[in-house]
Amino acid sequence: MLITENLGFSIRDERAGKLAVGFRDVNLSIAPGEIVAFLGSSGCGKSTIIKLLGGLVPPHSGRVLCDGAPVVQPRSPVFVVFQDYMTAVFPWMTVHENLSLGCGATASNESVPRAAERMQLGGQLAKYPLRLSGGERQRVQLARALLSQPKYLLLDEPTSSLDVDLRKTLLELLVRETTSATIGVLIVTHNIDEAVFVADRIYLARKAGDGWLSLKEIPGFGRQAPNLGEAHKSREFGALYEVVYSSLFGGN
Amino acid sequence: MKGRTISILSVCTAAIGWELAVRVAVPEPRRFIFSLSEMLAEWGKLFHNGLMIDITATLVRTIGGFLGAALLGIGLGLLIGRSPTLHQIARPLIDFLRPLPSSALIPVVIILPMLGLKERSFYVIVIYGSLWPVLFNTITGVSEVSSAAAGAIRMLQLSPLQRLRYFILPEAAPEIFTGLKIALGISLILAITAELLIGGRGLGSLMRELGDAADYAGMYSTILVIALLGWTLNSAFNIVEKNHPWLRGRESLIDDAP
Repeated sequence: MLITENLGFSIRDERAGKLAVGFRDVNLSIAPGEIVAFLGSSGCGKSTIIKLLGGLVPPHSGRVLCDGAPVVQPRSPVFVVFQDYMTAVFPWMTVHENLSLGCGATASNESVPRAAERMQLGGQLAKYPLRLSGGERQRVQLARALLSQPKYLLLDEPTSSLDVDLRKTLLELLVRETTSATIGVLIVTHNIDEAVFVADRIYLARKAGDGWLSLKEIPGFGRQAPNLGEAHKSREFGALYEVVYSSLFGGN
Repeated sequence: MKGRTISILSVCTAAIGWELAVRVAVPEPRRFIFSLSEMLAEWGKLFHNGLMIDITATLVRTIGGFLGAALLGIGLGLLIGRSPTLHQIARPLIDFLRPLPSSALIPVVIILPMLGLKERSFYVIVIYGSLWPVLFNTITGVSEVSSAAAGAIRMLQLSPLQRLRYFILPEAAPEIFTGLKIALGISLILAITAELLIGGRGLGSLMRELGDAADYAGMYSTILVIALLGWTLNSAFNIVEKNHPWLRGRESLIDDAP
């Protein structure tokens, strides 16, 4: 289990004289094999949550525990996939070399071509990232993360800069790869459709009037339909969508 | 390919233009201004008198000094650029010494051989002058890292040496290579300047000796050799730069379609 215990973190925007990011007593959990979405509007501190969970930023209070051990710096069972795949996939390395970094930079590793194949990057191994599309680059980042054999995968807006088709592909690959390896996944996103469809549980994050974050946990649709299109036809999906929408943007 | 044809045409036009202009405008016997063919004809005589030894001497000093500056500049740049404390200590010194023009080194060039340094004095001058662009660009390159890339590399949990090899140096490579290119130009300038002032073998000394002996055709033709040497060094550097694995995948260097 990857959990947070009364996690607190805040950044003040001195010029505006208000809270830029503020969490207090945040308690989250991600179990192996489960997909959890963290849904919130822009600027509510979604990326900060990922950095705290990944050990990239120390919390101001509370702690992050990975299978009982405190996470104080990046460590192997927890892996963060960044939103900015343009720089997170290194342009000076071929796809093969980028992927090799995921398994200790050993270029002869046989798992690299296999991982590439599974992420539909089989023909791209010798290419430089500049030659790849955004979706392919994001898949390189994902394949590299999976090669490091994480127990928990934290994804920061993985599909935010992709078009509809690529979103669908990436999401399908992500679900297939993580559920088969019983990896616990946290997807941070502002896309309601995606979060509701893919997640077993959803954390709804909303910035209160005083700037502090309020969190609410609801069940997700949990991939009960084969794809997002089919899910839209389901009454249950529609009801969940309504709940999420009104919680995030409604008056209550 | 079209670009190369234009380049060759432009060089040929300049050469023919020079030849014709001198032949038409400067009456024979020519004493101070010579046509291209007359300068090229001097090469035979220069070769006979050991031009290759002078070229080698200059080349060894230029490349040796350049490599010294490159090693020192990249090494120090890495240390200073990666350590905020060292950066604070070194920055004022660098900012003070860097704008010092190379010509201000002339008195030093004259003193060093007197201190018994002889051949080593060439290297001191070349390394000192060409160190700055490498050092400065390395510091800038290694201290500016995009946050997503830095986060990604922390996630990958590489050893410090792996981080240097796979991330820090390649990330800074465009800046470092720009610094190296400037340094290579300065190295040749300073090697020639030092030879002019110190003497011994080398193209700088040769040029001065021929000038002193009023052999102006020979002097000009030595200048032509120096220009060719500079061009060759620069072209060689461009080839290395274009094919370097750290730069091969970069946007600015990729011009063909995927």
